[in-house]
Amino acid sequence: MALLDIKDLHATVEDDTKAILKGISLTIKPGEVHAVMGPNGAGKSTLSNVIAGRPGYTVTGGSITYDGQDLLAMEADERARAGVFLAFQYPVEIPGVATATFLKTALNARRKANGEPEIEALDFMKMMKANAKRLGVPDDMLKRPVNVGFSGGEKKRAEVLQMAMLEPRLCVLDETDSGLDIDALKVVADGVNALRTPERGMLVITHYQRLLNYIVPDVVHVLAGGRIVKSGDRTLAEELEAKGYGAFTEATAA
Amino acid sequence: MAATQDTIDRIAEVSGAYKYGFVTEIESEKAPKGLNEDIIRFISAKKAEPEWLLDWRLKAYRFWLTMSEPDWAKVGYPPIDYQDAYYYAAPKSKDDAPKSLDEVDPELLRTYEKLGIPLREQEMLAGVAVDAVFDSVSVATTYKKKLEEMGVIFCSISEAVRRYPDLIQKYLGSIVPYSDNFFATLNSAVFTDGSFVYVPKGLRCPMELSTYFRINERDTGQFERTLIIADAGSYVSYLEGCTAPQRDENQLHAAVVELVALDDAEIKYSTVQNWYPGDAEGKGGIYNFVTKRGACRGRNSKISWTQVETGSAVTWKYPSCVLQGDNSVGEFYSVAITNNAQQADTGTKMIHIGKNTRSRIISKGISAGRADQTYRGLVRMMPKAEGARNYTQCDSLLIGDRCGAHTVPYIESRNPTAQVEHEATTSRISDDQLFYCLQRGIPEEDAVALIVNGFCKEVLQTLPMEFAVEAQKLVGISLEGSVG
Amino acid sequence: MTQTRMTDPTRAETTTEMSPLAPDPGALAADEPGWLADLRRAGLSVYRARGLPTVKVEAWKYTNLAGLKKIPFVLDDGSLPAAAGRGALALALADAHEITLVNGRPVAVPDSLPAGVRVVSLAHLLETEPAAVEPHLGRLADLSDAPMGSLNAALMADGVVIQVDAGVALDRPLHLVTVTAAPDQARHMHPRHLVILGEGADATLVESRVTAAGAAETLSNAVTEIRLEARARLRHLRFVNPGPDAVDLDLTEAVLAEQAHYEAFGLTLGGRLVRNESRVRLRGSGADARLHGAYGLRAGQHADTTLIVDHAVPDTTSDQLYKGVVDEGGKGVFQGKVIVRRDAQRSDGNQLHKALLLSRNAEVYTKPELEIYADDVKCSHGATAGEMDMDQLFYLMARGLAEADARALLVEAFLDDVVESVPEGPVRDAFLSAVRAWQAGRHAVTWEGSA
Repeated sequence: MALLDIKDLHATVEDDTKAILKGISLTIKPGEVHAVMGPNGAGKSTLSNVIAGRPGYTVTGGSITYDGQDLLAMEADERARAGVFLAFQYPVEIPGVATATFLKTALNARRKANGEPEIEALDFMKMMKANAKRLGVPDDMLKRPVNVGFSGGEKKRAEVLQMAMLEPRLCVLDETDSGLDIDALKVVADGVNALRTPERGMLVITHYQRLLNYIVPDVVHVLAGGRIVKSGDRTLAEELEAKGYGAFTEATAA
Repeated sequence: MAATQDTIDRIAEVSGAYKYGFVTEIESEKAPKGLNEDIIRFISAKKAEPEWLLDWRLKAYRFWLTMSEPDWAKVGYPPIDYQDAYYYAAPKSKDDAPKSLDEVDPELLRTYEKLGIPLREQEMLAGVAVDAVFDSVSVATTYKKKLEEMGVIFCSISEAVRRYPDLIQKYLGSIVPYSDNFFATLNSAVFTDGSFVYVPKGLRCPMELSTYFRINERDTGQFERTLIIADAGSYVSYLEGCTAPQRDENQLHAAVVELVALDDAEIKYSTVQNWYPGDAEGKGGIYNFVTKRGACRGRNSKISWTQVETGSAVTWKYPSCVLQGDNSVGEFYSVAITNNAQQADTGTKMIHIGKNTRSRIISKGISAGRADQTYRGLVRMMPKAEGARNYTQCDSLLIGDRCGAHTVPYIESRNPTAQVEHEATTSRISDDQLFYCLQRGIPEEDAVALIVNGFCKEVLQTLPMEFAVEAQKLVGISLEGSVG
Repeated sequence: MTQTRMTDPTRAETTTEMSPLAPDPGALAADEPGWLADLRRAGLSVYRARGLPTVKVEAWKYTNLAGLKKIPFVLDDGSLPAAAGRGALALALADAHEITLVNGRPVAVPDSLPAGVRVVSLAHLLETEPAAVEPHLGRLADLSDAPMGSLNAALMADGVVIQVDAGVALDRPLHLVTVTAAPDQARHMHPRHLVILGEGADATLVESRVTAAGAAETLSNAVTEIRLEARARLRHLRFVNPGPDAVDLDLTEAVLAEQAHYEAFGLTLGGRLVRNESRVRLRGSGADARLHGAYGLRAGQHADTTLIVDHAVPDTTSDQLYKGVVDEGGKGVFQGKVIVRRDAQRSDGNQLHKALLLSRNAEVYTKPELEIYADDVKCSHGATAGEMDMDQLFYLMARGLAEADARALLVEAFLDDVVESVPEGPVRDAFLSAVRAWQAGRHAVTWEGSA
């Protein structure tokens, strides 16, 4: 069974009739990594936000099935507890809430939904420290409020740390490479690669091919004008890099 | 950290109900309803008070008759009929006061256990001494003996009147005079009990002192009076908690708290106020009209108020510091949460008199539902307050579009070398913050509690540990039903 | 305060002030249109009910008018000759349409104004064309909570009516030079002005409030009503510099329609007791108000700035910024209030007041207030008060400046910071010179105390 099955998805930004997504279809099976590439304004962020259930978007047609469930019928927090994780392009600051507290709250919310007991404080600390160490996240960052005063690289590393801790089934990475220098990009990519398992699917959304040198996708989709104009294997990304988006967007217009 | 999860559990546990809304079935002794000189004489006689105290009460009562209720606060409520309340209600016991916990009515002990305040010393949180005030009288003070050995006096104010008349006569009404304001004057006339603390010279009181107030009886006003004296070089941390049963009618709570810090002394006074706030429609609840004032009499003295205000239908409260001693420090840390139909007009006054006095005000107001909340504060730099400093930060958070949040600071500068700095913001929980939490699987109400706890963190972390956890839970509970 | 009264206030001010200001109802003009008589009666009844405001009235907490009762004021009867003249202390604006008023009555109006612009005497208009005034006068300002404004309604005799038709942009600023004069005896007067800008109209109104030389005490109690229709823009720049025996009370109420802009600046340097109260009602979305100002006060001077900005509809913005310097014996008051009404979402209101106390016995009272009933808003306020930054002072002295010069420089810099925001170049220059001149006056006094 497919992990994520998007069929003919149409969506608009709330209070606007202008369609952003005009019929997206794609299927991710467990263990697969799909990349969605596209120019600015193609609808990349809309796609990730619609999957995560962010308010402010209206789905006007099509469906999203996640692990056999109608994802669009679920609230944003239910989707998250069901295993859908969005690594944000711009992670928001939450003053006064320590990163560790936040993570523990999120983890226990999921455990509770699954009828599991709360995680033991000691187990949580062990798990968090192990993950943090692997991702090069210093301990003091865990005590600092969520994303407050974090550099661009720290924010993205913290996102991957959260991903590692919450153990999602589907990871949506929204331009995780934006604002990262090459060293930070490597650390983040290594973190993501470590999470690739036969059960887990990933949707990597990016503007540049660069990230895909480190997170090697199984399938690449080109998104332009709200539609997937071409799909292929990893070589498609290289082709894009060589030819630019122009060649593909013209094809759509035609 | 754990508290956040606890918040969530607690929300599930109480699911919208006021947890402390039970009534204790206990036999009680009440004076007849109404207020007149005879009632005041009755209260005074009941407590075997000296003549001077009765005179003082009567003076206050007569003055009160000439006063009118303050109308400047941004709160509205129907007129209070001061004749339609009991001014004295006490749990019946064989003697005037129980000699030990064994004499305390077991029903009462169970009440406090339900409230999470075990009075039996062996069951107590280590290092917290408790004075429990039930309706009008103090029912038990724990760890008394141990404290007495160190020279710390911690007892009910009635007992202090009998045993330490000199201290009482010297300090009672010396910070909040009987003529201070309508509610404080009423309290001076009819106060029934409260706590008294004296910390001797040079002693750092090794345990937290705590009073737990509970209004139980119907139609009862609670008028407790607390007096804390920190002698030179001493330190004490004092905690106050309050609850009341759920009742349809409004009940008046008009307390007075007086603090005195002498040279190099420090008092830390923390309150978690969770009086019954009324139901979602605004029916019932406590009118919390309280006068709290601390005098930093001595050089280098310090008084720090921390309050977490989540309860009461109407709150009118301005814990203040009079900074008389040179280099003295006043602090006010406040979290006030109003939800449903609650109204709160609260803040502080920092009166800088001495040289190089310092004050710091951090106020976090959260308004939800149809509630109205006002921060009202005064910073006054007197002409002799050479080199004084004040910093004020006042932040308001609105949850929903039917509530109000107001900020009314008064800043009076009469010395050029005194620096005053005031900042205030009003905002709401951003959609982005909320979505971020939802995306991590945190349900909306928990997310709001989490974000609000973060917003209040600077204040909550000034609370002693035992209270901080309680307070964090309260933040979540108080905001139930405010979203969605 | 707008709170609900909870108890029957035994101290309800029903007592009539027995001051010389208390008007005799019989004194109200008899041969006026009914609506005007009603307006006067309503004003009188508010004033009689509330009396001269005392410091117990929240809005007047820091400004005490009790001293007025001791002065034997007589109501100005318009008998002074026009020659009482232009005050020497008015702003020097070469390129402006100048209108001179003596005790609130226009004595010289510009003879050539662009088409679509009308500047006339209120008294004249009431006599010849009352229908032109009726829709506006007393309709813009709600004075029911303002005893002094109500007294103005009862006693107003004259003032200026300025009308700019839709789409008309005034070429040069209008400069209102209002001179108070009392050569013989203390006088009180109640000028009333109306400023109406049609849709898309654009104008700059400058006011110089000054006093004729050798005047006894004067009390000017003015009310200005301003209506800005959609997209109209008014720059309202005021220089309040009356003499040391002048009491100058002013209440301005401005009502703004969609996209209208009201940009006000007040510079107060003179007067014994000055109160500038502005109430701005943002009634159309996109309306924007900017209320900036500065004041400099010395011995015997009291200046009160009271601002209320009412965000009545969504998507409105406001900004209040005032800076004041108070020297020995001066007293500054700043009361600013931002109200955001329920449903006035996406309002943005900011407020900042900074005061510099230069010496002993200088006093500043600040009350920056927010009253918010909508959640999707960005509102903030800040206030500071204190002495000069000693590090800055030392820095300048270390570079060789004498202390007095260093202080003067820092005081100027402090005020210039906000005066620089005056939108009209020549007016800004005139304001900056006025600050220089005021500052120069300080050198006569020796620095003392705080160093």
